[in-house]
Order: sequence, then C-alpha cells, then structure tokens
Amino acid sequence: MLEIKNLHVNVGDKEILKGLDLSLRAGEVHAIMGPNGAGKSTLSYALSGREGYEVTEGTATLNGKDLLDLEADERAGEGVFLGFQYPVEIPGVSNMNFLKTAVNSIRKYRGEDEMTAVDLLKLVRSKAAELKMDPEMLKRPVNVGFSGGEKKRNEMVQMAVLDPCLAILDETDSGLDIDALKIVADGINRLRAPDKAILVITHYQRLLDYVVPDHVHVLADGRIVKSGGKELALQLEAEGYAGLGIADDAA
Amino acid sequence: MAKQIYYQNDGYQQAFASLADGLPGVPELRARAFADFMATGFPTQKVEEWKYSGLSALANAVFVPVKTTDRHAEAESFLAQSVPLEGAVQLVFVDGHFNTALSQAGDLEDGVTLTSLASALAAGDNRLEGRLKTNEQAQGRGLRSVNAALMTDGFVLEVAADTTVSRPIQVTYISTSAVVGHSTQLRNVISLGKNSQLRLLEQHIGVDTGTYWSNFVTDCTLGEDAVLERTVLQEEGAKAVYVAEGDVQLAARASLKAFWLTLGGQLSRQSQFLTFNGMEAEVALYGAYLGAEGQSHDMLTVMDHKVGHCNSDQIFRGVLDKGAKAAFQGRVIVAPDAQLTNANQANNNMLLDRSAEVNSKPELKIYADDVKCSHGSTVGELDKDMLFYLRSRGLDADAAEQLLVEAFIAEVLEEGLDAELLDFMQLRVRSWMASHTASPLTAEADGKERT
Repeated sequence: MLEIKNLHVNVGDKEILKGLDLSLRAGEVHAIMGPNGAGKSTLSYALSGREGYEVTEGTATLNGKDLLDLEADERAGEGVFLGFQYPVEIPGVSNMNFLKTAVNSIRKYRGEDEMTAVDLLKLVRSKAAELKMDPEMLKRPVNVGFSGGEKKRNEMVQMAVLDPCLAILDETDSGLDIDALKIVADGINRLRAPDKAILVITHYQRLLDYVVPDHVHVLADGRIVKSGGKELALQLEAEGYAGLGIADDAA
Repeated sequence: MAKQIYYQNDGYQQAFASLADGLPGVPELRARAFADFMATGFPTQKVEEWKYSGLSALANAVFVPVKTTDRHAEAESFLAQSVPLEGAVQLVFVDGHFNTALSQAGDLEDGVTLTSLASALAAGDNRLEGRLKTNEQAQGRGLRSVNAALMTDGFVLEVAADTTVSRPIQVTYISTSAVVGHSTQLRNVISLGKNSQLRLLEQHIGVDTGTYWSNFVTDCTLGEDAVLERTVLQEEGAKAVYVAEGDVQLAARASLKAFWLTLGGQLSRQSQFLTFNGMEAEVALYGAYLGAEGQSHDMLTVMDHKVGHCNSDQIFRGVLDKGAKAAFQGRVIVAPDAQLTNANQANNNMLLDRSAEVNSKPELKIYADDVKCSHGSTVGELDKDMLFYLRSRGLDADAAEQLLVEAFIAEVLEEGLDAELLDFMQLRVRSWMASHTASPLTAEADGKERT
C-alpha cells in the first residue's frame, strides 16, 4: 500500500532523512520508534506534504500513486491522514464546520457529491459518541481551549470521520495521561481494517501496549536501522536505544 | 491643485445653479456651503485626516448629481441583493432620489416621523435648517460642504421621547448606470428623543461599469437614554468613490451600537465623529473591511469624551488581498474633566499578500487622569500552521484561506451584529471572498516558502 524507497528529505539546508525505505501492506500496523532528532516528525510531514520539507531523492507511493507530487490536500484526498503531535487551534472555526468542510473537500477531490448536512451531522455525532467526545465540543472552535487529551481525542474523531486508508500518527501519544492514551489507542484500533494501513510514530513503547503493531522499525539518523516484530518494541523498552547502540539525546 | 481645477471648470457652478430649483428651502445654507466648497475644494493628502485617501479621481472631473432618474427596472434588479429583513420599513433611494414606488412605507408607531429630505423641506419644516447647519464650519470634515451645497435628497427620521420603533428601518441606496460620471449627494438626519429606541440598516449598492461618486452625510442626535443600533453594508460598484460622514451627539445614558461592513468601491472613506455630551453614555463601533486589488478602504473615527463616566469600544478588522490598501485612524479625546472614561480600541488586519498595505493609526489625546484607555493594532498574515492543518484535512489552498479569513472576520461580525443580520453578512463576506481574492497560497507553495 505505502512504498517508500530511498527517501531523502532536507529541512532548510540540513538533510534529515538520508535514504529511508519502508513498506506497509494493507491491513498492517507499523510502529516507528526512534530517539529525538532521528527524523520521525520529518517523515510524517514529508509524507503529508508540509511546506519546507524538501524531498531531494527517492519515492513514496500510495497504492502505486506518487504522493510526493501532490499538494497536502490532494494527499488527504488520496486517503492520507496525519495525526498531529501538536494539533493546531483555529479560533472562529467550529469543529463541526471544520469537519463538514474537510469531508466535502475530500469528496469533491474524489469526484463525489457533497454529503448532505443531515448525513454529515449523523456521521460526526456517531463517531464523536464512539470516542466519547462531548457533543458540545463539536460546536466549539477547533482545539481552542482544549486540554492536551481533548486535542488528541479530537484528532481521533477527525480521523474516524475522514476514514483514511493511510493514517500516520505523529507522536500522538506524547504528553498524555493513561486515560487519554487509551482514547488514542481506541481511535487507532477502531480504524484497523484489512484495507487500511497505519503508521504509528512514537518515542516510547507505552502506546504499543494498547495498539499492538505488526511490525516495529527503529529510525535513527534518518534511516531505518532495525526492523522486527512487536518484540522489538519490548526489547527497546528493556534495553533503551543504547542497547541497539543508538544515542538517545532525550534519555 | 484641486482648487485650480474648479476655477478652470465651471461644472460645479452650473450644477449648483441648476439644483437651486430642485431641492426647496434652505437656499442661504446651500449658498454658504457652496462658497465654502469653492474656497477649500477637496481635501488633499496633506490634510492629516485624509493622508490615506487621495481624492484625485474626484478632482480631475466634475461629478454632479443627476436631477432625476429613469432607471426603474435596473434599480429593481439591484434590489434583489438587498438584505432580507423581516418586517422592515423599506426606504429606497435611486441615483440620489427617494423612490416611492420601490419603497414600502408601512405602519410606524405614533411619534415616529420618517420622510424624505426633499419632502420635509417642501413641507417647510423650519426646524430642519438648524439640524442641517450641524458642523457647517467644521474644519477637516472634507466633503460636508459640497454635500450641503449639492444635496438632492436623503431621509429625516425623528423618534419622539419614550417611543420604541418596533420595526427596523431599512434604507437601500442604489446607484444605477445613470449615475456613472455623476454623483449622489444625500443628507440624512436622525433624531432620537429621550428614552427612544431604533434599529437602522443601510445598504449601498451600485453599478460596476464606471466611476461615480457617492457622498453621504448622516447626522444623529441621541437624547437621554436613547438607543440606536445602526448597521451599514457598503457594496458600492467596483469603480465607485464612496465618502460618508457622520456626526453623532449623545446625551446622558444614550447608547449607540454601530457596525460597518465595507466591501465595495475602489475608494471608500467612512468618517465618524462622536461626541459624549452627557454622562454614562455608551458607544460600541464595529467594522470589517475587505479589500482586493485596486481597492482602498479608509476609516476615521473621532471619539470625543467631553464628559466623564462614558464608555467607548471600537473593534475594526480588515482583510487585504494583493495590492489592496486600507487605513484605520482612531482618535480618542478625553477632556480634562472627563474622569472615569473607558475607551478601548482594537484594529486587527490580515494581509493575504505582501503587496497589501495597511495603515493603522490610533491617536489618544487624554487630558484626564483617572481613565482607562486602551488601543491595540495588529497586522498579520495567514498562519502557516493553521493552513497546513486545514490542508492536511483535505481543504485546498483557496478553501483553507477562505475558512481562515471568514473565521477572522466572524469574530467581529458576531460581536457587532444580532443573529438576524449575522448569517446574511457572513454570506456577503463569503461571496466577496469567492469573487475577489486570488490564490496567493499556490504561488507561495511554488516559491518563497520553500526554506
């Protein structure tokens, strides 16, 4: 489903990703772990099309389609979703209006008719209820005044409503207490399906207690240095990145 | 410069002479005003208050009012754009003249007098002259004298003491193709008696095909405890020069809440002079202006706290696309004895392109020592993080920009408008965005933001 080959990405003049290879098949959950500065966020931004992340070499395709040629919104239209480490506050735009605009933008990209206001409201309300979001929060401006946990829950509601085929969760678990962490895990597990792929990017193993990955990769200095099954995450937990001979400047 | 043009060209002389038999009454007042206009001409940009609005488009030709108009069908088609306001009494002016056929008078409470200026003068309302003299000699008020000299009509609205006008008054000013190369010179007089209440909505609509000049003077007198809510939607034609001036006198505990949504014209200038004459009066002014390439919007407010214990709040927000200009000048004067004055002022601007220009000029002259006065001006661009967040959720560059601009403007719309007008005004902003703004973000993505 997602094929990344020899991906090199510069931020400014600095090369952050230095030839990254990664392959996700439909139905799989992959976790990428790595120390700070390894290039985890750069990978998520490069895949989702953020300005300022310049691909100098390599390819990334989704179901055979070249992602790197597309604008961020076109990638969303192709089914890419990025869960933000720091969700952005947007004063003056209600959550509901934001979701409505997003859903219909993606439908427009796909050549589908707009969803009616009634159907949309039903969809959003049901997804919010599944993730135990207070319906009142749908009326509030996007993320404004939300706690860290509420913001991450909001990311999960957006993901559930937009129903992507590739979800990239960029340290969605960082800074969360255990209840919020469970909400994020619940959001990810609900998305799991045979036709979807999920890439969980995390610094800590903690989230993987709740979202059991099919594959675990270690990213260090811009490359995947080790891949394995879920036991690799446990090994990292026990031995730290140092156990793999990797310096972790956050340790 | 400008003066010489008048002397070389007798167009205004002829216009004044020909209008002498048009609008009855007050001949001396008009003659004085005309002499004043001939002596002072249009304000140049050397006049501080007019620094940001060059009136050269007016100085190089003669824009005289049309004496009558025959564009009934065209005017009627413009009316389709007017705000649908439930139960409103409708006044329609076409090309500077009250149009009986398009207006819907309707019943008003006893104690409410609403007439056109022309008919009020024809009826020999002798109190009018005094009202029309307001600020006759005031300096720096620009185009008041030419308005007084050439005015063709307007409305006179008087509300007696203890009267609440239950229906909103809606006034629509339409400039049809007949007014291209000409001007409309309208004069409105509003007077609210003690403890009376009124809601007023005004809308300016005009033809896009050529330059014309709209020149409005609207003076309001608010008695003790009177409450006025006024909303002005300016959607003049694309090449119009729009100049409006208002004088507001507030007695004790009077309250004015006003909102200006400025979208039209190539040059628009709104000047409001407000004077607190009695204690515990309140003024809340809100405004939003959106400018596209070739447009210039200029707002001047002068808040004169002559007495203490009064509140004034001002929030003005602007969005300026490529090549657009805007200015906000907010002067607050607090007299030496005007203790316990609260005066706040905020002007926030969003530039959609680096070539847009905004001048934000708060000016506080505070002579009392126990007051709370604040002002804040910001000029910013669209937030890159917000844009990426929206685009990562599937909104294309235009949709993301539009949503953020609407949100920025929505905050002042929500503050300044009641629910009945809010939805409509949001639609007007949305449709303006859709028809005026380019897509600067696409260009940015290709170029300078790749760092």
